[in-house]
Order: sequence, then C-alpha cells, then structure tokens
Amino acid sequence: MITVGFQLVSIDPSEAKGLGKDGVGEIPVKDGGTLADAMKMVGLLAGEPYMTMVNGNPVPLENRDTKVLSDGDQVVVFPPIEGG
Amino acid sequence: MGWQGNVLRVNLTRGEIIREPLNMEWAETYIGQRGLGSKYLTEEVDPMVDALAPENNLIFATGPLTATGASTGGRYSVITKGALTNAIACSNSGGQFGAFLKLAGWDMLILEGKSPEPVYLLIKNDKIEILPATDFIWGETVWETEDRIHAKHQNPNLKIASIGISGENLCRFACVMNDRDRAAGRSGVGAVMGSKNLKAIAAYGSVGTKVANPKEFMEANAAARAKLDPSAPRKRLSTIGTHAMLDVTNSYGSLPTLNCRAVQFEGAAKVNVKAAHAPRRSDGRANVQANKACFACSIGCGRIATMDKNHFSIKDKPQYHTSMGGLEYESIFAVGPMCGVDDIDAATYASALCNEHGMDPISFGVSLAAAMELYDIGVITKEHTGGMALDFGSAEALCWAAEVTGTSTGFGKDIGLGAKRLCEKYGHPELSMTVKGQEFPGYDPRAMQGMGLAYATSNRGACHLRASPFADDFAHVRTEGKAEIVKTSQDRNAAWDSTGVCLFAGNAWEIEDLVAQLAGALPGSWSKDRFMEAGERIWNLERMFNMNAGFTKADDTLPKRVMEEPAPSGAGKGKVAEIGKMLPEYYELRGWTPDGEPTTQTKSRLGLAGA
Repeated sequence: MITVGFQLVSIDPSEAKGLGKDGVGEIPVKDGGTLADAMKMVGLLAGEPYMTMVNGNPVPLENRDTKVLSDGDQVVVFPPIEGG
Repeated sequence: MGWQGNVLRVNLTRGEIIREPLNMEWAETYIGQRGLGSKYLTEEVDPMVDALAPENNLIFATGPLTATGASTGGRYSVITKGALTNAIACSNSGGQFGAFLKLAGWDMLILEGKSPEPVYLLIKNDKIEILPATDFIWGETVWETEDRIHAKHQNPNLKIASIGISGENLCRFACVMNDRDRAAGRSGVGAVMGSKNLKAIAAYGSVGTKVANPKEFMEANAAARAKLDPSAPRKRLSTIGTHAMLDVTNSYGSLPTLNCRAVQFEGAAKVNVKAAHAPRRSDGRANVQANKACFACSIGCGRIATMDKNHFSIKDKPQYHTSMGGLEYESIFAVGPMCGVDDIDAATYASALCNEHGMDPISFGVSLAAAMELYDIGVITKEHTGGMALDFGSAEALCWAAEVTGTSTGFGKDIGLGAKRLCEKYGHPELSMTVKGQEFPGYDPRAMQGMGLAYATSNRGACHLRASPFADDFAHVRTEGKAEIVKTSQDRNAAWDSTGVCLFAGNAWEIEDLVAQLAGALPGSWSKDRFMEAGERIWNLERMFNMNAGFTKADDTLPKRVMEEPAPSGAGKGKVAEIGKMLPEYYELRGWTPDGEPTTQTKSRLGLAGA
C-alpha cells in the first residue's frame, strides 16, 4: 500500500469519506493504484466531471484510470466550476 | 410574443420621447438583448465617434425571455461604445430592473444625445417623463439615489438603474448600477451615461409579457427548472457562490496576484470562501450573512455581507454597520490577491464602495494593482498620492483608493483612468494588465491558455464571460484545441446573452434546454443550429464595429508580462501565454483573413454583407 495526500477544494467535505472536516487527509491506495482508485476510496465518482491535479499538474478525466499514483503524491480535486 | 414589439427612444438633447415598433427582421436574426442592441448600435452610431460624445447612443436592451417566467430570465444589457475601451461594449446585469423595463412594455430603450442639464427618466408603462436631477440626486451615490427616487415617487416597485458619483465624473470604468448592488459593470458604460447627463432610469411595469406558444413554453420551462434546481452547480453557487473559485484558481496557479507578478496568493486562506463564512472573533458573525437572487432566479449566487464594525475602514462610519452586497469571485480577486491584500473586511469595504459609487470592481482593483506596481518601482510616489503609501498588500491603501476613486478626488482621478491610461500616463504601458484597454478578470492566461485566447479576441476587451473554456483549461495546460473551444463558446455565449437568461443557468443546461424555451416563447422555428448561427452573426457584427473603429489584428493580444514572463508556480509553471500559436487557427475557424477580418464569404453567409 502507498499513502497519498488528498485535498478537496470548494467541495463540501461531507461529500467524501476518510478526510478531515477541512476536506484534507491522507488515504491508503493499493500499490499500482490509479487516480481513479483514489477517488473511489474517498467516495468520489471518478467519472464525474471534477477537475483533478496530482502534484500540481492537471490530470484530465480521460487519464484518471491510467494515472498511477506514487507514495506521497498530492491529489487535489475541485468542482467543474465556471464563471465568476 | 416573447418580444414586446416596442422600442422607447429618448433624445436627451431635445427632450424628445418617441415610441417605435421593434424591427422584427432584426429581432429574428439577432434574438434580443446583446445581439439586437448591438445591431441597433451598429446601424445608428459611427464606430469612430468619441465614446463620451452626444453622438454615441446608450441602449438598454432586454431579451425575449426576460420577464417571461423563464428560469433566471431577468437579464438586460447596456450596449454602447465603451468609454474604457473605445470598442463595442455590452454589459449584462441581473437584479430586477431589466424585468420591470420589459414588464412596462419595452424591449429596448435607446438614449441619444446629451441633456443640457442633469436629468432622470421615469418610466411607468407607456407614461414616460424626463425629470430634473439637479438639487435632487445629481452628486449623490447610487444608494442615496435609489432611496430618494423611491421616497419621492412613493412606489417601492420602481426599479432603478443609475450611475454613482464615479459615472458623473466620467471615471473610465464607471458602471450602470441597478437594485443597489447589481451592475452592468464592464467597459465604462456608466461613464457614457454620465456623459449624457442622465443620472437614473426608474421603471415600473404592469403590462406583462406573453409567449407565442404557452403550453410548449411552460413545458420547456418546467423541464429546464427541473434540471437546474437540483443540480450540483446551482447548489454550489447558492451556498458558496462564485467566491469558491478563489481556492480553485489559487490551487491551480491561475489566480492573478500582485499585478500578475504571481499566480498564487499566500494570503488566500484569509480571503477565501471559508474565511467569508467563518464567525468573526469580534462579534461572532460571519462576513456572509445570506445569499440573494435576481428576478426569476433559483440560483441566488449573490451575497449579502456584513463587515466587522471595529474594522479601521468603518469604525467611524455607522452607515456601513449593516448588511450589503458582498464579495463575489471577480471582486475579491481584484481587490484582494491582485493587490496583495489579505484583509477580508477591507476587501468587502472596497467592494461595497464600488457598488455605492458605481465602479467596476475588476477594473478598479486591477488599476490599483498597476498603481501599486508603479509605486513599488518608484514611478508613483507619495507626492502623487498626497501622502498615501501604495504598497502591495496595504489594506489602508485599498480602502483609501476606493474612496478617492469612487468620488473622483485627488489621485483617484488617475486610478479612474483605468490601468491602460494610468500606465501610459506614467510611462510604463507594459504594466497594464489589459486587453483593448479593459482589465483582466481573475484568470491568469499562462495556466489557462484558452482563457488567454478568449481575452485576446474578446470584442469588449479582457473578459471571462465572452467565452467559457474553463473545463478544458482546468484539465490541460496546452494550446492545442483551444481555438475551436473558444470560438464555439464565444458564439454560444453571444447568443445566450441575447435571450434574457443568465449564463450561470448554462452550468446545468445544454443549449437545447434554452432553445426549447425560446421556441416556446417566440414565433417561428428555433433550433440549436439557428441559435449558434445567431451567436456567430452577433460575434462578427461586434468584430466589424471594432474594425471600423480602428481596431486591428494587433489588438488581439495580451500584455507583455504574460507572454514573456513564465508563470512562477502552479500548473502553468514555466509557461507563457502563447497567443501566436492559437490565433491563426482561430481566425481560420472564424472564416476571417490572416489579418483577422471577416471574409466576404463569411459576411455573406451570416447576412452581414451590407453591415
């Protein structure tokens, strides 16, 4: 197992599990696990149009199933938000 | 049907009030609001006219879905040649005013000329009066103006659009405000109103609206509401508002900070949405007290806020010890991170003064950030400011600047020039974060290449609402594919902004959901193809106005800083905005020449051959 950092940005933390009240936490992921696996671990549907980053780099929806995570990676998820 | 069929034309020079039939041929090809107002402007105003001259027209235009009961259908636009940009301007606002103008029986109000004395316009259905504003509301703030008109006419259902002291003094980024804290905010449309000696328009309507196919319209409307109301974007906008974007752009590295010297802000946690909802130590209340919706809107993205009564900015000003319009993403980015300020009460105060005096908070904040950088490099000094240190991060400087700019006093007149003219005046045009003279919204184009292209090609200068390339920009820091995304989005938004419905409904709807409502409201056959073609026609019409006003391909660009200085951090770290890679493909997709001019074939295809 590896451990990755996970942070929800502008998403209600109650929508996820295994994270702190501030939407931040560390989660275990199986060796060779992907970003999609990590999202499932916290209860987020990997197929939803969330925006995702790993170590500061964007990972598009179509690459979540193939983006293999490493121990210590930092995952950030934010909503499909537009406008301002 | 959908349209009222009536245009109210007021010549302020002669004091004439004229009722005209709406040009239905134009309505069917330009829909309404942004498109139809732009058509009238381009037919009636010389593109080379001085934006502040009497020969410029100021048009208030509703859409065919405004006040019909369509979900979020309360929008109107102000169309003119912009005082900030000298380009075609179209600023869109919600609140109640637009709906009541339509309910009074008018699709559009066209204001010509310049009144010899300050006046305001009173519209009660088909009874129209031009009334004196001197010794009544001229010289007063937006809020005081609304209060006095309501008190005088004893009709709380009068909905009011007005300018503040900023517009009277021709601040280049003055807004038209309505319903106290909603704004047709961008491009200096309020300065044009001020140049006409027109302080306010008060409208009350009881005529009502009709739709062409009531059953079809109601079914489409119900289906659209059923889609919007339970949607995640609606819930998010309702609960945490647009303010939530700040954490997103800060995480991504596209939050314009310190006049775009940086793309992430160390003080973000002090001014983000979480900070706005946290109880204050002093009184236990949060900055955000409630949300607020516009006419017929179930989203309610507006914020109602309070400030700390002990904050230095208002401790001796009890008039601000109450609830008022709060921070939205664009206002907090501009008066917060862009100026390096991490004081949420100072930001709320500055934003409130923008509403009270009628200034665009984006342009104000970005112009102040430019002034702060000029101060930082020693070009602007305390001699210029009258003693105020314009340090990045200074909450005192922010509050002071909002006061002097809003009232057009002292150095505030320089800030009120807008960033482009300010930086040119002080010999550093490269420090102006503008496109076509209009200040950047809250997205740095180095991490968001599509937004960079959208800024560069926007017909009203840098704008985050002319195209919506967010989804792809937050997934890919690249130039490939952006031209098509931006072009399609620009056409879609141009048509959407012509209907009377809010762009934010588009976070939950497909184009088909809106077209179904148009098809119910209007005669004839409406389809997605017709809708998108209308958007493309509107975009090209605006482009041609600008080219006839002297704009060229050279104006489709971005500030040197974002094209030459790599982003220092975030998803775009090491990258610059690469407009040159995207522009040729964009022009080709548009059917324009390599110099950015619509070809004869494109004009013919869109029915613009004679335009």
